[in-house]
Amino acid sequence: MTLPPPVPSLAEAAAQLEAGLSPVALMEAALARIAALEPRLHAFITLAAETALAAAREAERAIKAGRRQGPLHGIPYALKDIYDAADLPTTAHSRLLEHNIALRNSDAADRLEAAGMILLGKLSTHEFARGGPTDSLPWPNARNPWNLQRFAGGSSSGSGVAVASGMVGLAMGSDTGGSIRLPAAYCGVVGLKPTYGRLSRFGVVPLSFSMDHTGPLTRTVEDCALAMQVLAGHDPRDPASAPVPPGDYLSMLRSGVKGLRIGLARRFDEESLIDAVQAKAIGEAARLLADLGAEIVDIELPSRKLMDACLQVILLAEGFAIHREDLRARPEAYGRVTRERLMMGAFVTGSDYVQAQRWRRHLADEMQKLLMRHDAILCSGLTGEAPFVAEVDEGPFRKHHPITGPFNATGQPALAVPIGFGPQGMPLSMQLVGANFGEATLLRIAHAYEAAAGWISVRPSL
Amino acid sequence: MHDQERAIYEGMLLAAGIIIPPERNDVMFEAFRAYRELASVLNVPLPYGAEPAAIYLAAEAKS
Repeated sequence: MTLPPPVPSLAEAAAQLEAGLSPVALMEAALARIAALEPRLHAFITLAAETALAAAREAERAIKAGRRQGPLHGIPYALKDIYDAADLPTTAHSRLLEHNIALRNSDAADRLEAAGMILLGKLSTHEFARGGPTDSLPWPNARNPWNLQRFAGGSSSGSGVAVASGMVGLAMGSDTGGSIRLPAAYCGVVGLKPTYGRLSRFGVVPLSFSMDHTGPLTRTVEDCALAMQVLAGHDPRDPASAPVPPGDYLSMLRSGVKGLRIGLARRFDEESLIDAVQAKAIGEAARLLADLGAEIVDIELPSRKLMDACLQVILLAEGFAIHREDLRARPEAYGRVTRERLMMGAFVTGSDYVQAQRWRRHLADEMQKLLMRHDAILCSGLTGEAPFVAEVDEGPFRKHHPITGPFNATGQPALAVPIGFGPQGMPLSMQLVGANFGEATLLRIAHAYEAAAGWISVRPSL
Repeated sequence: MHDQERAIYEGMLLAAGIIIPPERNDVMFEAFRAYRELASVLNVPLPYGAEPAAIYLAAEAKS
């Protein structure tokens, strides 16, 4: 049987819809792709095929009647299954929420719906955005489309898999220590952790209130910008939502990098124990950006260990506060990895937590000062190619903390961008980190890189 | 030292009401030690004026 083709990118779909493509045909194409791949990839927990098709028919009528709501009207998307969407289950991939039906939309679902996008379904995640890829749960874990035996990253695993395999053009993820950027990196797609407070967390199952970020995963940088144009904006329902203008992610997207100053964080990468393959890829990415006109300078970031300590202490304490009663009353309901990682919060003292928050303010200020002198920081997005699932550290407290976590502690935006492939055929990735609310600059740099590098044309063989 | 750490570990679990299955106790204890080692880098004196992040401002409080 011939595999149905991958769905177009958001930008391609918008152009095709403008030229007369039917939203119903687009939805049917997405559903056919999912039907063909889902038995192997397990990206979805809930597929809302009937309501999605009905919404596509309604979009078709509206567009024909001249009521197009914008470029994304009629395009399917999917949500990590910790986002609420009214009348659909929100399970967090956990037995504890197996029968939980959302009564209303998350802010992200509201905004995407207002833009005319159509929810296709809810995506697999590591349990409560905290567990691991081998936890025994009511639904299988998502598989990396580049190699089914290798780690897809997490916790937004289904989001990375669904986008990389061409099931959807946009999937929402969440990022508390790297959970958007890591699956984006391992699956070879683009993933943005915006500035803390840029996107609303309303209607999203929390893991760590002061570290949780919501954000998009897309196949292209332009798609990420299109999504941010819709998603950003102050939300009074989220106490951490920043009262700032929503931003403009598209007008400067194609302005290139000439004259921009990018700090290359070599020492941070070395401290993070990246391998030689990843180091070479980062060096080549930096050279390409320099060839495109950017000024690349070496930069020293604040102590990796201090940033990791801040993140871990705060994440453990806040996660434990949320789950303590269930961990006491029904620990067996969690997967082993999730349970043990959440239980680690029992070891955090009050003074640990406050001290971490005091350091956090200092480190965030130091990082922001660096970003006042540089347009972006370039560093690795992972330490090497995706490991085999059986090799993933699923201990209660990882031996090496993710390379993405420091920027959750300091709050600045960080963008994962594909930078090629290793000898085992798995994607490699860089992180671009920007000043607070500087997402548009990151997207501009990433767009210039993506257009010149050409990795975007390479897709997994499925 | 190891006994003292073990006592702290067990005391914190007891205070939190968390029960670790016996077969996972050694793994959790090692994780506890690794956590304490990492968190110790934060335990240096800071100026009195070093305020924590994430402090609510009264002016931003919702009614």
